[in-house]
Amino acid sequence: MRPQQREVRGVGMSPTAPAPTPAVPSTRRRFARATGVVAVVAGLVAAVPGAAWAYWTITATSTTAASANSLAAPTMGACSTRTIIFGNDPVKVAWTEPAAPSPALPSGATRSYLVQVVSASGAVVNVSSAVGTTSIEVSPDSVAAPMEKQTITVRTRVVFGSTTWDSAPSAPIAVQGSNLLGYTNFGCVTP
Amino acid sequence: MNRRLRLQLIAAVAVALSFIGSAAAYGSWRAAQNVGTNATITSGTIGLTPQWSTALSLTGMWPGETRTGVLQLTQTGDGRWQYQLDPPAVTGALAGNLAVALRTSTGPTAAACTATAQPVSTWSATIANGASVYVCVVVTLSSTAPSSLQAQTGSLALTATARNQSTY
Repeated sequence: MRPQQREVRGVGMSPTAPAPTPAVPSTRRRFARATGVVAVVAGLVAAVPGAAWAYWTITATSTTAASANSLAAPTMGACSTRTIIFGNDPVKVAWTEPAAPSPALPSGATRSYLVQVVSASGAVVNVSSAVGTTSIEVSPDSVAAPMEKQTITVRTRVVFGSTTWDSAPSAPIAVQGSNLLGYTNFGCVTP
Repeated sequence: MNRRLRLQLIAAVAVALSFIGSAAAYGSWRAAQNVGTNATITSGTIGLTPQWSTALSLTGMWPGETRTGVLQLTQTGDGRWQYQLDPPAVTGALAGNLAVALRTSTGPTAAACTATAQPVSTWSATIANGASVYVCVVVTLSSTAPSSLQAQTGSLALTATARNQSTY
């Protein structure tokens, strides 16, 4: 046998270019390449029988609507005042209780009513009232600026273990104070 | 023989051996017998029906309130089967305030719910054809849900995937 001549090929070589130093691929690289080929082929052979274990799958979803409950607001009654001779006339705030919540409130929850008096300048006075009470009086003495217009609403309030929920406010009534003989008397005005 | 040719030859032999090896795995004596004519061969089917064996109503929930339902998964098809539940998904305004816990259940009612958490994203053991499984779904509205959450809505989606298994 004649000794084999190694053929050296270089990309971009011109016939007149000086021959580069022969890049002899290492035996390790060739071995790795051959091993890779064998591995790919073996993988393909192994993958074909795998199809025999294919599954059929099906997915189903059950969807349930959820909602948080809400508190109904009381129904505000008409505005009225009570005349006190030689005293400050208060406004009587009366309301009708809403129907009991449904479903029933969890045990431990307490329901009450919150009468809120808001002055024209933004001062707020809250008066709490237990369930079963459907009216209270608000005296001019209980607000900071009775001569301003006071807007009064009622809300249902429920205290749960770790949170408190208030209903939307009822329709409002409004009062405004006036002086008479040194007394401040609330009188109903248009909200 | 140059080295490149030798390597190619090695690869070719390896391929050939692989095929031969695969064939050998199935090689055996064979006997054929006509078992009849006009036989109909049909592929199997798989279906999954989720339904509430104990209804889960999530409307009008109060803070801290817990409701429980039992979801029944029934496979409608052939062969044995497995199932896998996705993690429950809550969407809408109640997301973040609605906690959902899945527990195993030994029967169709809430009384059969156990304290064992129902695995999700994991295939169940193989179940006999025609058998149902029950999943207890426990939903709680957060005890700290703010007042602004009143009348807000959301949706709970429970997704199950079933796959067939060999008959034997």
